[in-house]
Amino acid sequence: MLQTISEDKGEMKLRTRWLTMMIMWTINFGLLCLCMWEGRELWSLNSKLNSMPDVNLREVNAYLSDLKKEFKRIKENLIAVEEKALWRENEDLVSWVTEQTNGMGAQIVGVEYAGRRKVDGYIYTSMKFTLRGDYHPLSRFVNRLERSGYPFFMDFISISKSPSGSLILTLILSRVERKWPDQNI
Amino acid sequence: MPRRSVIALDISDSSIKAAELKFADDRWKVQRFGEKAIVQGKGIRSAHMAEEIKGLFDELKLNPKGVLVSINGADATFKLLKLPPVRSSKVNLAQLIKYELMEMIPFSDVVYDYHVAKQGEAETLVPLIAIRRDRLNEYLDLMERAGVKPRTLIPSFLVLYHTLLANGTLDQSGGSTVAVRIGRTIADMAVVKEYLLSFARSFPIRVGTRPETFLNDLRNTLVSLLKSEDGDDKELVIISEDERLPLGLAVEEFQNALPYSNFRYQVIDEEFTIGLAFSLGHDPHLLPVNLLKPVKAERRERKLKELKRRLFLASPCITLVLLSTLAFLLHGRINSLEEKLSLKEEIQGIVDRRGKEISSLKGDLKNLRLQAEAIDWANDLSPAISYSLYKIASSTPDGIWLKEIHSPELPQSGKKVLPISSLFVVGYARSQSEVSDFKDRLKSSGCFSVIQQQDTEEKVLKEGRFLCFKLYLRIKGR
Repeated sequence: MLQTISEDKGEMKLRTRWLTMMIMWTINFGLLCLCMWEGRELWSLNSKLNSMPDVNLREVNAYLSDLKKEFKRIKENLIAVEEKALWRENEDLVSWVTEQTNGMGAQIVGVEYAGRRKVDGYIYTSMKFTLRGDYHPLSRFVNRLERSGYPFFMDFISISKSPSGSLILTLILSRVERKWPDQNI
Repeated sequence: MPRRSVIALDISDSSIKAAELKFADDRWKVQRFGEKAIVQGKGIRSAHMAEEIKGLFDELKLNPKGVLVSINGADATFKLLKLPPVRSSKVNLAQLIKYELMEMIPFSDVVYDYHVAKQGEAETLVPLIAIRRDRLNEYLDLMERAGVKPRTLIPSFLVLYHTLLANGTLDQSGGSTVAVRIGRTIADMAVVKEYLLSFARSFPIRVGTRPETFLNDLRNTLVSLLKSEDGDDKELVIISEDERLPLGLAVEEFQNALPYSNFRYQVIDEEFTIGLAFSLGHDPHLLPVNLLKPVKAERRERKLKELKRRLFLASPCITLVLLSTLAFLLHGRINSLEEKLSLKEEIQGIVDRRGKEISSLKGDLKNLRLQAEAIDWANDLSPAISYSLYKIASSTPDGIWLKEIHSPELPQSGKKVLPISSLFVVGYARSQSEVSDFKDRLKSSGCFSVIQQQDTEEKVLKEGRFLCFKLYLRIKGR
């Protein structure tokens, strides 16, 4: 009887040990699967990371900052130039040119509209002026226009002799406006 | 060179002897020696014997570790195996010896050790000692109980052989001798031929044995031995522990009873333990066998087996720990990579936004530059047109009639607007030299960078024949 109990105990111990081993190996198998999954994940992350280009945010920021500075500089220059070049409201080119002929010995014999041109965001509106006079009065007149600092652009100039013998000065002057007056540069 | 100091222990049925031996001046010397007599009838199994050993060690203050132990030779067996030449591996030799051993010893479970003493063309000589395992275990149990950790364990007849080597007895007899050590309760016998132990045996001297019977037994053994040996020219050496021989025998009785003409008698007491220490040396004739060697090997094997078993049982736990660690490490690495990736993606997003900003800014900048170029004329600082008109007039020589001065035609709509940079002068002259003169004057005026004569043709007017010329003047600085 005693021997039987002892044998039973031994068998039970053996079975418990076997069961424990099985449980442990099952856990191990699970862990192995987890490790494999993690390894795959790691590999995938690594390749993803390696495929991304190396960027230097500092360099990009510096480049952007340089561009902004350049933009600002050109804009400021442009504003300054536009102050000189753009036609001011309430100004009348014909009246002004007529005024400039006073006491110059040059006489306006014709004024006509010479069309509009659109160039890089600006509109050039041209007027053709025809004046009669001697060479020197006409030159002085041109000189007065040039020295006036008035915002016009000289498109064309011609001094020629008329069949009657007097000299004819043909001037095409343009006033410059923004293509979109409200545009903020 | 042997160890400086060793502890020797001689166990027999009648006594235990312990000694500390020191190696000095090229020989072993007994430093401390102690002996305890054992009451007859109490074997090595008794607790009393272990106590006696412990007591003796304590008394002599001896270190019980690494002790060289001599056991009762009667418990062991010696055999000189004469094997055919063995040139193959050690494994083959071991198998051959095992077979010989089965033939020689009737016990199934024995512990043995051997040494290949001579490996010649004709034969291989292998001295072998063996002991029954249960008997050896009794000795080992005794050692354990006594707290002694043995280093070597050899039978007393082998100690006798080593003592003969150590004290020069063999050298005196030319390497061949028959030695009998007579103890109180044991007689060890060693037959040496040309320094090779060819026969060894121990037999107990029982209490109450008649001297004649003992002498007869001894004589019979020696006679039977002589028959198998080549001759009787060997010297017989009788060794005793003290002057008093056992069973009340006298030296002369030995001389008369034993069949040897050359006879020598020696008294070796504590010096006998030198035979134990001698086995540690490098003498070419010593027999380096140790009954503990197979036991140790078996123990090692058992330990290895146990270790393997434990390893097998622990393998799931070890694997669990390893895999858990690996999983943890991988998890950490994945987390770190994910963080890195997220950061990189964030930076990439910022860079993309910046890229768009840059691209838009570049477009704006291009437009701005075009605009700036379009009204660049407002910054023009070059000489005025009126100045050029004045210089043309002042440079015109007599004989030149100017017909027209004009700028180039207007540019087409949408084309870039440029300030007037050149003038065309059309006029009449009588000759080319006058035109050339006019050109020189214009040149020297310093107002024009390029002066080119174009389209010159001869015309007949009312006033006569004239050259109609056209000059292209490029205003300097424009």
